[in-house]
Amino acid sequence: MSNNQYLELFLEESQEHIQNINRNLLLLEQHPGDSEVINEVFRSAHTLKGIAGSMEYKTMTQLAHGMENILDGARSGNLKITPDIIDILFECVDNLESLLKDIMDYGEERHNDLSTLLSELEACMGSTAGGHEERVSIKTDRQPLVMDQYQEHVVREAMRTGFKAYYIQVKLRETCLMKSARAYIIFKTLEEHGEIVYSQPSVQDIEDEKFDLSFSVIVISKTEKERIINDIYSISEIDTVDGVELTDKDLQEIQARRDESKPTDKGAAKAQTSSRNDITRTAAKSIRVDIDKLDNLMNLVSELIIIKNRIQDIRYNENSEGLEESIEYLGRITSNLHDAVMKVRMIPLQMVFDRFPRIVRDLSRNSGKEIMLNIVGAETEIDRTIIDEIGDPLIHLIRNAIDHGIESPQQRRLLGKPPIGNVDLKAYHEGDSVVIEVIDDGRGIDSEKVLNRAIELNLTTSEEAESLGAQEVFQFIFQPGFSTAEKITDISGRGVGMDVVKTKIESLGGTVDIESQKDKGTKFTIRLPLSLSIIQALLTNIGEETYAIPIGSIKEILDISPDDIKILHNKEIIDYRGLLIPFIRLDELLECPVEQGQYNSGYITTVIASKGERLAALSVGNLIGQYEIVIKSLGKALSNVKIVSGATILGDGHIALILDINRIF
Amino acid sequence: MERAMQNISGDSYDTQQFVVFQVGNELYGINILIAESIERIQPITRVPKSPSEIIGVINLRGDIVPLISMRKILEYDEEDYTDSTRIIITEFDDYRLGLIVDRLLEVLTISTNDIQLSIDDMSDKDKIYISGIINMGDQPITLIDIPKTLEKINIIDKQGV
Repeated sequence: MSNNQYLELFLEESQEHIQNINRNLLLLEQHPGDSEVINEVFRSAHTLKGIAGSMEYKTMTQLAHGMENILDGARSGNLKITPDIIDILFECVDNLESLLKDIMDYGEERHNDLSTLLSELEACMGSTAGGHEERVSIKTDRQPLVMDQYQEHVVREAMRTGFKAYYIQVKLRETCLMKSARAYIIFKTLEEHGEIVYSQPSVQDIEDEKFDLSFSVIVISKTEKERIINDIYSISEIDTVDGVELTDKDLQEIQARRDESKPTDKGAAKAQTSSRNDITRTAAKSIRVDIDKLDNLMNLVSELIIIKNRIQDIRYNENSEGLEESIEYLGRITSNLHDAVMKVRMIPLQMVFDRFPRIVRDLSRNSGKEIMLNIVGAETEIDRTIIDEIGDPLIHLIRNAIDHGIESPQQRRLLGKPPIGNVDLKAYHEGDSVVIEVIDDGRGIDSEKVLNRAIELNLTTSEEAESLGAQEVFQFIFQPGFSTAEKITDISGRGVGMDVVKTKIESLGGTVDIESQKDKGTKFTIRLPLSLSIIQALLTNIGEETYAIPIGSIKEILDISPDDIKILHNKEIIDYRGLLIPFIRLDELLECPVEQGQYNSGYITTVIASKGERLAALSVGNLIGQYEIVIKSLGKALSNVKIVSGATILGDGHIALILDINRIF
Repeated sequence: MERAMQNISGDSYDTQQFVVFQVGNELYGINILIAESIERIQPITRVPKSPSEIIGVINLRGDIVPLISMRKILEYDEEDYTDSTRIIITEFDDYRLGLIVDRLLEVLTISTNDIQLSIDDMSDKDKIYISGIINMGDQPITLIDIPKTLEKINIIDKQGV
């Protein structure tokens, strides 16, 4: 791909548009006639087509183009949105999503043949196929011109005093990059000839690029129509320009139309638009920041903190008062900076929650259960890293709640519950953590059956079982292998992979609790830290153990031959680019049990670590790789152990200790 | 046990509860107020340069918890863990620690009157800090004050400094 540098931007933007389409299709399903929603989907599909086209992803472009056609048909009233069409559109989005995933994973579209879907799309268009080509040219008639009284008055006045009013429609090329800038040039050109009294969409919207490719204006001028149109054509990236001179008859029609539409739907449409604008506005508030840059900022701040500590150390200076003051100042700045940077990393959970209504819709269709998904607190903000990771565990919990928790409508009626099952997703801040609750009002977890199964699996004994609290009993669900057999689904009502949910959340430094009452429902409470102490670290085996070395203190990784190791003053050293630096065997230093034959292979993998200006070579075992890890404290009882600065929980639930390079040499 | 039950109904203010466990051939008890939960043995990560009584750390539902071998503290030889090996998670002051014991027996409710406070010439010699002895069943139970014991062997800092 020649456009590699744009790939990331493309992926991110496409994901946003796919999510947007998904969200609006759900809305459309409920309100099939809502033109504003249709427009929104159209815009997203259109943009998607554009960006996929510019990246030369042909299948995505084709699909998006197909969707765009349907929506355009719906927009112009040629096509009625039916449940079938919605389904096809959903299918398109799903395919777009998997194509996007292909691009992410393999750098190209690998998707199966989509010709069936594409022909289905064609078929939908069938009824309108004839009108498709002409649409552009006859648009003038079809898109009714609506002016308010004031605008109409100005036009009338102008016509009376010998001016001419032109209704001009401009369509930009699809490849046009900065539409609003282009529109601005067009406006400027028009203003050389006269005055613009009307524009659709509004000037504000055009400036904000809230328009598709075309817009229309009414210009009052004394210039000939042809001259104006030619002038506009001389601007680049223009597709078509259409101009008509308005006559008295047109104005009368406009007036009639206005009187007609005024009382009823105008107000309602207004209200809807404004609420939707609110949504777009909140979305626009956030900015995209490269996470690497943020991490860099974080590191800088950490260094600032170190410098602060150093100043603190040189307090034996005579001028202690001034020093004290500046330390205080520095301290204040650093903590503020730290706070600010942390906040930049925070993103509303909306990002994750937006995916769920669609998933719930599909699940409820497939299972024949009616489900209401209630989302509360989507605006709650949490660290970006958590956002990326929390989606899958939440999907798992929601899926479980629907698959196993919520009963069928018939069963629910028998139990005296409303036939529609509720799944609540709540998020809120609590002290230093963010709480996410997944609550269903289904059949609950039968703790007795869980216990029996736990005893069966030898996870506990019947004697012990008696002293266990409900919370402890439910924790058995998270045991690996607890719920593999079909039988277990009966028992717990909680399907596969709960251990994965738990491990994932724990690796983010969070916890999961379960509350459940038979026939009343189940509540999963996830507590996550507001932000994480995250560092980049190299995971490596040392002997038979796994350790993490912060990337910040690694200068280089080398393979050295045992012959390179020399003895100086009874200590092992190596020559590193002309510099003699100590060679430290970490497995000996850490007294790790060593596998037989690990070091017989000839070369020794060595990490060149830096501590300020000083360097040392540390022998390690097999490298595992670079990871972003969450730092956890070892607890107060181990606070005297200086060689490790903390621990982290790996993806498999095991612990890796984090080496404190500053204490090693 | 029967006497203990009578005591509950008699005077509830004056009873105490202990988690009773076995290490080697003897029975020991710790106050239930510091016990948080009982766990089965699970993968332990060794921490280099840590006190020898601390065997390592475990991942307890997302928290890192250090484990202390009661065998080490009671001066038995280390043995392989078995199916009956248990970890008693304790929490006191700012500490959260797991105690590895050979076997867990019961939670004993007992009248304070039934606790013999000390036996001559026992307390200072040992590593442990004994808070009393229960002599009721077939076997006497030594009650260990865990915070004071860990202070005594310098695993945790002295309190109230």
